[in-house]
Amino acid sequence: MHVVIVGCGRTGVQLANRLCADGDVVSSIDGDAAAAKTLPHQLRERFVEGSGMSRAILERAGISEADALVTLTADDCVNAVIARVAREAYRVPQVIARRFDPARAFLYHELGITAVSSVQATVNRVAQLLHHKRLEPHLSFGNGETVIVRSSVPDYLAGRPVSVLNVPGEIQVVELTRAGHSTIPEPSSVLAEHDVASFVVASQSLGRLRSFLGGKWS
Amino acid sequence: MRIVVVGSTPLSGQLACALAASGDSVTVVRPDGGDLELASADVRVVTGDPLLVLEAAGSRRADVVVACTGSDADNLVVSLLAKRHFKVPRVLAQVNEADHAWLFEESWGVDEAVSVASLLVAAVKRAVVATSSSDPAGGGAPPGSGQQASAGAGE
Repeated sequence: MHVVIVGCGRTGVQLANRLCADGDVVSSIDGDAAAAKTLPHQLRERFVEGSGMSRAILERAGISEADALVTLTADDCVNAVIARVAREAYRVPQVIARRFDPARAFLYHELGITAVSSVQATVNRVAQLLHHKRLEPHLSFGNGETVIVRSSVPDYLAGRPVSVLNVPGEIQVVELTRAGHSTIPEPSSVLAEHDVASFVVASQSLGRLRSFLGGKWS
Repeated sequence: MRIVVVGSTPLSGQLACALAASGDSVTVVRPDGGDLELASADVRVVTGDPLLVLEAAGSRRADVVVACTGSDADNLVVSLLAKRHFKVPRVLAQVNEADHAWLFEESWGVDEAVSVASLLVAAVKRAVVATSSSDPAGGGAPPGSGQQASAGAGE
């Protein structure tokens, strides 16, 4: 896969390294020539110095043949402009932008651009760690808005259907392990003692799930 | 006419004052809360992130929005929002970097791109033509006629 990365800061360099190790071809763009020095040797020859909003620079980085573009500059408007240009003018199949100001989230929404926010991801993660330490997420999606957690089913729910745990849009039981055997339960499947369940949960509903646990879950 | 000028550069200040002096109703959106010195008391000033205060600045009823911050990306995004969200009939945007001029067109909501550099270039060219054609007695066209300073996005 050929990936163009705009912005060679800490995140850009780490990402370039990671993708390179995964076998991707990475071109990077940064307005500061000194940024190239932070790149590993094999990535330096594909470094282009200049503005990611310049046609000549984008094309020198190979945007026309790129499979993906990631824009990581510290300016939301710059990221939005580059992401939209990549998608609409160059038809790059996968475009991801970094979002800084949470107040500007609507901009990426409006333009239909996938945005990742380290601020949001950090906030969600810290809140999870502080408030829900017994519900350790196994997987998290997007910026952590949705997570999968796993927990044993409290005894008082034995004999009740799985559906008592489901809250539309917030909590959904997606898996049940009983005596080492995992199944995808029906809403009518009956819970038993010592069952372990996996839930897909909206982050903001983790508190609600925890209160279902009633302190009896571990 | 109701005009919204976005930018806190000296240029945007002068523009706002000049428009207000000629009788237009002008609101300036000053992005960073910087010291925008306005020589006119007739200009309304709204401070804040232009992406968030465009509506408060009256963009919905504006006849013209001028995006003239020092950042081309900001100017493009402001133009797009003005056109898409607020259906502003006429959107003008300032081009700062020649390399970015190609973006200033319809798909970003820009009706007219204005580059100070290309205005200057056009003016200098006219001046050169005027000086070189002024000596022969063949009453040539007056300087600048028929040659609107193409404020366009350049090539």
